Amino acid sequence: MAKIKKHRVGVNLDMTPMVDVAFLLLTFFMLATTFRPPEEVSVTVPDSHSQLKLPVANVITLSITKEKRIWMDVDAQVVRAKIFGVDYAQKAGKEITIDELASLINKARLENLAIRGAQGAMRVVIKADKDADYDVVSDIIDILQKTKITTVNFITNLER
Amino acid sequence: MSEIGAAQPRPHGKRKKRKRRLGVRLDMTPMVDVAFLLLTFFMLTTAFRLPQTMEISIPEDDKESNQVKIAESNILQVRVTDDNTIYWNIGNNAPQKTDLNNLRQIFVERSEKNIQDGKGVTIKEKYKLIMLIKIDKKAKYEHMINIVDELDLAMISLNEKNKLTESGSKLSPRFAFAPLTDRDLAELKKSP
Repeated sequence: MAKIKKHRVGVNLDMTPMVDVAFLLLTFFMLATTFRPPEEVSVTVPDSHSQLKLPVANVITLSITKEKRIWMDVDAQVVRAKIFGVDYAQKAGKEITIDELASLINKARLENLAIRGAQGAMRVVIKADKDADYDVVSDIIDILQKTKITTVNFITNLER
Repeated sequence: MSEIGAAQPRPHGKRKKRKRRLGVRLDMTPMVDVAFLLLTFFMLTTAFRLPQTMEISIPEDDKESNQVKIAESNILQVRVTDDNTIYWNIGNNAPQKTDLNNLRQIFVERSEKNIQDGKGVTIKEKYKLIMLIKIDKKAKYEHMINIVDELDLAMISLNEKNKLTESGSKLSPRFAFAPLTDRDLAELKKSP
């Protein structure tokens, strides 16, 4: 017996509005984008109600992972190349030990001053995992105290 | 071909001679594909909110000359042990267990009491309370941020309550970090 063929209606969908919206979003994202800074390690920062914005330039970032490993980074490529070596210019920091910290910070501050002049005073920003033990942070604060850094910024998530 | 610039008066009533246009049907699918690809790329790489920070000032290296004497009754101690419990006490009182949710209330209440007892003209002069934050080395770093955050919030609500709006008269949190020593642990044993 011959099979009864179902008659199919060709669906002609007008995709123009969807494409319009897609382009609109595309332009929006292209214009509004600030690229996420590259990260060597992923860190879950704690929440706080502080609404202070992180400064963009002249920062030394110390990332501390859950496992108490410390990564140091500076914002300027030139400075990064000077303190960690040319290989690290394109990277997002280098893993360091706590004993190197003081000398590296001083080096970074000097290099930054040499490049940026009087505006080159560096800030230290600590980006620690919320589950990290307190001792790493307190040790780092002690070292910063010794290197005469009196203001520390802690990266936090805005809590609502 | 129609001439450009040679505008002819349109003859009324008469039917214009229509040129037959060929409908151009362009396949836009590849372009749309690329558009969506870019769209996803930008959506995934965008960081909308730049990270927020909490700024903390630390004193310069401990020197004899930097040390300030404070009356014991003006010190509120917050201790966090290695099992992440929070204790607080004022002056010589026995430490009491608390949790993060009550901390702000404690800060506000104690600060108000301190202002009542304090000498001076303005509220800022009367306010002498200093928070001493002691966190065990094995406790989580999160506590440090949370405690300072609660302290900041307590100050904001105190400022609002007392209608302190000018920056000169506003109360600001005063706190210091200190290591949790064996003496502190012995002290915590007294906690009920």
